[in-house]
Formats: sequence, structure tokens, C-alpha cells
Amino acid sequence: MKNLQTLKLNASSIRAAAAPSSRPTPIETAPEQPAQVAPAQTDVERPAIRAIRPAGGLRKHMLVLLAVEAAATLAAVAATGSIHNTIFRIAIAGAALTIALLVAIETAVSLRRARPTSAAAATASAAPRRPLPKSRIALLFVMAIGFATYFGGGGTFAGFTAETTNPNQTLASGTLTLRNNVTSNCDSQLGESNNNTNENCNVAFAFTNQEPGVYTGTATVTLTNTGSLNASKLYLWAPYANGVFNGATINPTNTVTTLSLYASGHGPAGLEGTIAGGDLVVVTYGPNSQTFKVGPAGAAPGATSIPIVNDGTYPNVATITISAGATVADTSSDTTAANTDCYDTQQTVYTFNPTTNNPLCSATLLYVQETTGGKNYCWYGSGHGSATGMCDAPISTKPSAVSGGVVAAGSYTVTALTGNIKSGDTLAFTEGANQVTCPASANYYIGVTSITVGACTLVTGVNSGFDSNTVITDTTTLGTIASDSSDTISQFDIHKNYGFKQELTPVSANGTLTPTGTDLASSAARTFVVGVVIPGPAAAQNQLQGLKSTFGLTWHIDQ
Amino acid sequence: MSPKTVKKLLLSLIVVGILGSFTVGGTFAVLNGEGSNPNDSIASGTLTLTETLTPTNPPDTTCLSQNGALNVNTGCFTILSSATVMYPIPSAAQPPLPAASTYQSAHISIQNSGTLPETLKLYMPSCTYATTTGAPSPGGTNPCCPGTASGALPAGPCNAGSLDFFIQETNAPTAPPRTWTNLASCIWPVSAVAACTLSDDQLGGFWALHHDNTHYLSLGTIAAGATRYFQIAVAEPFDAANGLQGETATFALYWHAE
Repeated sequence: MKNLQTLKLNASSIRAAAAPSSRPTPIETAPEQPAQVAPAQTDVERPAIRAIRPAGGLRKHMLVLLAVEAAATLAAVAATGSIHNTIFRIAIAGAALTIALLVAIETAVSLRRARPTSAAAATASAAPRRPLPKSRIALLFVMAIGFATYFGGGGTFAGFTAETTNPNQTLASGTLTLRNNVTSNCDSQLGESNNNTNENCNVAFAFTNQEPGVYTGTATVTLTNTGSLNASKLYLWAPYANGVFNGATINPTNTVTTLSLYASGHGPAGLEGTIAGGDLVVVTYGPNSQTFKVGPAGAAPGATSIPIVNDGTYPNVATITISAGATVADTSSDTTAANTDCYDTQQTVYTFNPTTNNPLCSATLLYVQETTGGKNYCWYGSGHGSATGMCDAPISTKPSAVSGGVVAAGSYTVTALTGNIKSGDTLAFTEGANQVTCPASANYYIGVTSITVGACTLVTGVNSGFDSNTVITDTTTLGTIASDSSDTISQFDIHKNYGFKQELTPVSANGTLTPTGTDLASSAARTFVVGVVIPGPAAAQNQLQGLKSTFGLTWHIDQ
Repeated sequence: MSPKTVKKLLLSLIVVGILGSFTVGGTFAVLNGEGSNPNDSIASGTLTLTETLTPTNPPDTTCLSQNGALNVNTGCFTILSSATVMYPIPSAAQPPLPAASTYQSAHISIQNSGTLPETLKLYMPSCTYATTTGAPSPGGTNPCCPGTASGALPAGPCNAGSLDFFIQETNAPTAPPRTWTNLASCIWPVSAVAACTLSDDQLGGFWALHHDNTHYLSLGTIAAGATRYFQIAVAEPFDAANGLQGETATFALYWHAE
């Protein structure tokens, strides 16, 4: 680079010295004269020299300067090493050398032609021989150095040298993988999507023959960061209507008219959710994804084929490789109860239980409560964000024994709670036609095995004959959720989808969050209880009979 | 630093900024992991009733609750018909019941045809009386006495001796020609005695107490798929004298499951 700058500066100097605007008319035929070098040149002599320049001298001079500029630039470019093609690089250097030689020759010839032959020349011949201008000498000298440097060596040399080397520098990336366990381990890195996403984890629950207003059940999901890096973010969200691609590999430039989905065994059973015509589906395989437009027919829940149409914005020509296991997600879904990931199907066909707008998805309540290390937080559902950390999660438990068969104030050992009891809640002890209610004496969280109740009241039947078959329910909680229509699975899909994903920041105490910048440290685990229940409002719910809601949950960690 | 250099730097920053605005839409995690629990499901059960009129010999008549748009079928068969003229039963001394020809009865079965256990309820939302068309000398007693849905006396004279009424639960019948054996208790009039008896004013009495979905007679639970059997009987009491002559009672029975 220094060579380049020097050459340019010299070329500019030449231009500045050789462009007078008041040049005399040049003499057309200037005979050859031996070069004469004068030790000094007076101001009187200079006009004479200028006068013997040919008529096209200025233009020629400018062309020479331009050539010098070009030669310098080409040499500099070649010297920077930015030209990687060896042949091309040598060609450029050769061109630069050629131009420089031509300039040198032309300069020498010009000096020879500058000797006068006519009367004027005779006068001029009497004058001392004109020396080569110092600036030109300097220019040629520097150019010579430049070429010598370029072709003769690229650096400076010292007589003594010393050198040390640090070999084998390495950089190894860490890992970030998520294990999802309900009944068995499901590892993100084993997913078929080839993208550290596993769509085929355990089914959290499959409750059948449920009825409104009674306890349904829960599942416990344990998430473990099995990677070597901490996860700064842990998210829960509702998936879009989605499926897993099952078809011959689609290669770039292939035209895509349908997307086949696995019917079972690889994640969602067919299409999970409803896809409307015109929706956009994103297909992801490995690190690549492509968006396609769905054909007018759309696709119904459980479908194993999604029609694709060509669109100006979303051509149906593949730009990525799509192999079996790719995830297919309808990013236009999860906006209304009709197009959520959760979908209803009729298990028994009646005239009064149509699946339009997924009524069971729209009625069934979902709750997600963290219980990690005995610290509770209600992430979703009735009671979300409560100071106690309790969701309004119903219970159904049994006492190990009832002293004398009579329900009375006192402590009871019970099967581990799968819901919460708030202090003061009414607990109903029911066996057959007999029912006694008692108030809870304290808060009891999921997992508790001993509860204490206050003075009890006979509701129906007689207060006798109670035993280990007695069922204890929390009628206060059931009453609270009976009118809840905002914590349903449909609402979860609409309000907690990818666009509104729920970050699960660390819980430091019951109902208290303490963000630390790490939601799931390497090797750490967090536990969540997920429950569903069909609320039991006073009105008949016959429209919910014989239906089945199917949905998914997505857990995600980020570096 | 020369102005030219400053300009170059500023232009460079502008270019970088413009590129950033086009190419950076958010922050992205370099590494991530994800797992999904698909196919989670919750399925509701079904709760339906199938009512069948089971005479001694078929054919039977069946009525499904789910035939209605709201799982309510108000168009089921008539259990008892006024086609047979009733006579006052000869004596209050029972059991045994008087001759079958002196009262009207029918056997029905109630099946839980759903998948959920049910609590079965029974009530009589209405009982109206009228003079039998063409009757030569109506007695004038309201056969629905003494009850009304509100507890007030029904219109018309409410003399003693209104219609007898009972609901007897039985075992499953034998093969046709069917016979039935009583279960251990009489449902109405409520009694610990196995066999029901015919006694005065029990139709009106039932109506007075059990006339809507909050004033019902609980028949207990019925398991999914299970069937219970009932005999419904109406008689003109022995002491009705002529008060019930030429009178007609029209009532409905609602079998309700929750």
C-alpha cells in the first residue's frame, strides 16, 4: 500500500509540472539531436524547450501520465494480494511493467526529440544541453524501487531473526439440548427434523370419558437441559396447527403441490389443528425453512395431506431440501377458536355435539403450575400469577382412613394431591349418598399428603361409614373455575402461541419470580404439572358430549 | 482528521445502518433445543337415556333422549292410557295388589346408554284434569289432588280420594311372556316395604313434591350401560265414590339423568 501511495503522488507531481496553459505553438518538425545535459537550466531556456514539443504534446503527456497512473494502480492491486488467480495476477503485473517501460522509453525518446534543428534549434543548440528533469528522475527511481520490491522481494530482511509459534489453537462449541420427560425421556437432538427439535415426545395425557365439573387429571412434565451450555431462555408455547412431513425428499427446484404428513408415530397424528385455504405453512428441515401457500381446500384435523399452490410471493418451487421428518407449521393459525392447534373430533355422533369452532377445546380449562423444588408458580390457567403460586387446580384424593367412619375436624393422611387447596376452601368428603363438608385449615400444594380440616357439616345422608374409599374434592375450586372461559385450551393456543410465548423465568419462592438471565442451567431440571378440567357451569353442557380435544405443548430453550 | 475522512466515516456508518435495518429483524439465538408433547387429548363422555316400554310380550317401544336437539326428548311414548276405564279398587287392604284388571300399570326400563355414570331423577312437571268427553255425570273431583307445583290446591274440588299412584322398581323381566319381581323397596310412595301399594292421593302427592328439576325424586345412580326397571301404576281408590267419575288426569313423567 505504501508503494501505491508513493507512485500516485509522483504521477501527480508530473502532471502538475507539465501542464502549463500558456504553452507556445510547438514546432512541427523537430530534428533529432543528441541529448545534451546541462547542469542548470535558466528561465530563458525553458520556453525554447517547450517550443520544440510536437503539436500533440499535451495530449500525449496526459496519456503518459494516465498510463503511469494505470501502471501504478495495477501494480499496487497485484501487490495487495487481492487478486488470487495467479495467472491473472502475473498478467496484471506484466501489464504494469510493460506500461512502465513504455513510459520510460517514451520519456527518453521525448528528451531526444527535444533537441532543436532549425534556426530556433540552432539557437537552442548553442544553449547548454538540457538535463533530465529531477522530478522525472525521482519518479523513475521510485518506480524502479517499486518494481524491484514487488518482483524482488516482499519484505525487509534482518540479519538476525526470532520466531515463536502457538500451534493447535482450537475452538469447540458447547451444546444446548432439551430433555422432555412425562413417562420417558424425549431428547430434542433426536428429533427427525434434523434441527434439534423433537416433535414426538410423550403424550402428556389422554383422558377419556370425562364429564364437566369434576376433577379430570394432570401430567407432570420434567424439562432438563442436557447440554453443556446454560439456556438463557426457557419457553412454553402453544404450537401452530402442525404436522410432520412424510414423503419423498423434495429437492431444490422441485415443484411442490402437496405436503404429506405422518399419520402416527412421528409426532402429531396427521395434521394437529385446522388449516384454512390460503394459509401460509412453514416447512423446516435442518437449518432451512421455506414458506408455502395452502390451496383453497385447506386441510382438516388429522389430514395427511396439505395442498400447496403456486403464489407470486410464495412460489411452490422448493428452494431447500425437505426430507421426511421436516416440521410443517401453519403460521396463519391460532387466531380464532376455529383454527387452533387444539381440535375437536366427534367420538359419538349426536345432533347436539357438532365440532364447529371446537367447542370442547373452547370449554376445557388448561393449567400449568411449576413445582420445581417445592416452589410453585402458576404459569397458565385460573389463578395465573397468584401470590400463592397456586393455580385453581381441582383435587380428587382419598384419605388413608377415617377414624370411626365419621368425618370430623382434624388431620387426614391422603394420597398425594394433584391439585391445590387454599386455606378456607370447602372440602367435600363423599362416599355413596353420604357427604360431609369441612373447611381447609391451611394452603396445601400439589404433592402434599396430609391435610387438616376444621369443623365439618353433614350435607347429605349420614356422617358415618366413611373410609379409605371416601373421595375428597375441593368444591370451592370447582366453583371458581365453573365460570372460567378465559383459561381454556383454545385461549392458550390463541394467546400463548409462538408470537406470545411464555418465558418461564426462575421461581425463587411460591408465587415469586426472580429473573437471573439463566432460565435453565446446564444439567438443571424444572418440573411442571399440566392439568385439564371441563368446568361445570349450571347450564347444561350437552354440546360437549362425545367429543375429543387433541392438542400439543411446546417447550423450548435458547442459548 | 480531515473533513474528507470524516465524511467517509459518516457515510460508512450510514451504509452500515441501512444494511442493519434491512437485514436484522430481531435478535436470534444461535443454539436452541425444543421438544413438543403432541396428541395430548381429553375426551368427554356421553350421557344419554334410553327408555323402553316393555309389555308382557313384545313389541317394545323405545325412546332415545339424544333424538332431541338438546338431548331432551319430550316426545316419548305414553305409559298409561285412558282407554281402559278404571274401577275403584275393591279394598284398601294391601298387599297383595288387587286384581290387575282393577288398575292400570305398565313396565318400562331406563337404560344409561351413555358412557358416564348417571344420577337418575324423576319428576312430574304437570298434572291437569278435565271432564272426560261425553261422560254422563262427572264426579267433579280433581284427580290431581292434592298437589300442585306451587303447593296450592289445584283448580276444582279437591275431595279426598284422588288417584292412587305408585312407582315400583323391579328386577329385569324374564323372557316373554315377561314377568317381574319386585326389588327391595318401593320408590313411590316411599316405603321400606318391597312391594308398593295403591293408596289415595299419591298421584297428586307426587306432583306436589316432585314437579321440576330442583324438586325431583332421586332414583340414585345408574352405571354406564346399566338398565333399571320400573312399574308405574295408577288406580282409582276404593273410597273415591263417584267423585272421580267422568274425570281425566293428564300428566307427564320426566326421567332426567345428570
